[in-house]
Amino acid sequence: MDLKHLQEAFVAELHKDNADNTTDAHTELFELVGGNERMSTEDKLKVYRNNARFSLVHTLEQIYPACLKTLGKDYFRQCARAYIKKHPSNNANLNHYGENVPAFFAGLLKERADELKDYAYLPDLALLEREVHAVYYAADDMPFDFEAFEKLTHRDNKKDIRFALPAAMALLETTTPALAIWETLLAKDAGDTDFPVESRGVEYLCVRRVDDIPRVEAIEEEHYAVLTAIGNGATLSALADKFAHLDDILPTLIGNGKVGSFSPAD
Amino acid sequence: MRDAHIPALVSGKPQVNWLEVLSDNYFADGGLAHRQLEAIREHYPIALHSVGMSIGSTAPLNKDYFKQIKKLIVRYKPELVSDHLCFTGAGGVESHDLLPLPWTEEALSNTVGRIKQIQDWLGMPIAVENISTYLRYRHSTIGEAEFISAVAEQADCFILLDINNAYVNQVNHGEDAETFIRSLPVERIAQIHLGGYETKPDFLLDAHNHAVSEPVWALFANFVSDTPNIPTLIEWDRDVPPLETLLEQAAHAQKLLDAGAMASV
Repeated sequence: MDLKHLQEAFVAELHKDNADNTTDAHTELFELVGGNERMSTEDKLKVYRNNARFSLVHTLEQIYPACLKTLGKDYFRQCARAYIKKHPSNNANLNHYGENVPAFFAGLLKERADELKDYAYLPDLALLEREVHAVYYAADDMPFDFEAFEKLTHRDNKKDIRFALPAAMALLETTTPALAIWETLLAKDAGDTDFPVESRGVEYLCVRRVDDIPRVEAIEEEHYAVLTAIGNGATLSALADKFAHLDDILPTLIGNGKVGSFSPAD
Repeated sequence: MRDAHIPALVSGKPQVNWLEVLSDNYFADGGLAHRQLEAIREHYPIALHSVGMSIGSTAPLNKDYFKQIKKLIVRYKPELVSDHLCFTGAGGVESHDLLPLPWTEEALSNTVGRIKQIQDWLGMPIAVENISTYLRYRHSTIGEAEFISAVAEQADCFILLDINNAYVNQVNHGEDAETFIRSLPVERIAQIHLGGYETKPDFLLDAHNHAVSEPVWALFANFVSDTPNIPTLIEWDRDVPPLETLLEQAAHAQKLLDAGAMASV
């Protein structure tokens, strides 16, 4: 067995719930490793299997602490193992692992409809936690340059402008009370918590890093729509055409740090 | 350096010769982690240690990963950059664990070629660390110390000697850690790691969750009695104790290093 095939066989062994003894690669790897009186070959590989699984489960627990809390450690870990099996890590940077957890939970709600009937909020809660994680690690944003903005808008007042959202900010729309649930679950003194899981209509959330910490707030629908349009690349003139109250909204959004930068539109 | 200790390090600036930073924890583009590391770097030299270079892999080198390491090198100017002599993934899947290499001519040639390429990319030599293992391959044709020595010599890189790992391997495989350590080329050893293991029923697990054990202190004391002045680090990654505990362990290591230096005068 050459080095490449040995490494592939080894890594394949790490992702098995029960060793699949049928492949040639498995058989050859087991012959190369061998057991002794203290540990069988399977026992030896199991140490690595446990280590690899521990790293990924631990990572998911770190990124999704509210999901962990609402599901309980045992159930969350069971879900995490199923997720790891379906989505093995393909990036050496663990910051990127677990990106598909919200969709995974959405699928799980369908598969286990009875078991998870009280957890309709789970995919949105995971989405919120994923964005909080991403915002925590996002690039630093420069403060809005009012002086340059004034110069640009005065000198080239016939030219259009395109704004950009801050790197350390994310938007999400939910029909579940994900924010209230997240806040309740992660409150410092939270024990067994009760929270309203019924939908209160659509909520528009903004996750933004303030003083290094991701903060989540519910924002007005029209503010959300303006920010979404900015995120999609709309120019100032397009925003003005679309939003009747832009003159009121835009200064507010710029003033509270939700608009990151700007540039000439072409 | 662990998150829990950063406030005490920044505010108290305790006497520590240098700190090791896990590079992988600083791959973020911005935010708190970098602000903290900048504050630390103002007062302490640092070494960058990583777990994802996959130095012994047969897969193509992960350019994105090395770009991140390079960014950290440029930004923080570390004294040393190191990773483990192992592979961490294959077939597009990452294990996030340190997987053992067979010690064969094929693995040697592959590893040497990759280290040369890594050093070329990073613009500086790296150090490679001996790992704890829970298995040995029957088809290995070279001993561990011989393999590491040949890697260091042929790739012109440094060795990071982890004495805890040597001891874990002694227990797990019935080998002699002293012989292993003494077989390495001293002039290539740029750094020493000391750490704690967890005792399992059938083996020792390199968990970095305990104080340095007595047998590991004994191996270290013996080694530095005639090879002093090698920068030495206490590793403690899980169940991290108060900073004072680590400082006590580091002070004990320094005492042994100083005693070795005195004896060799």
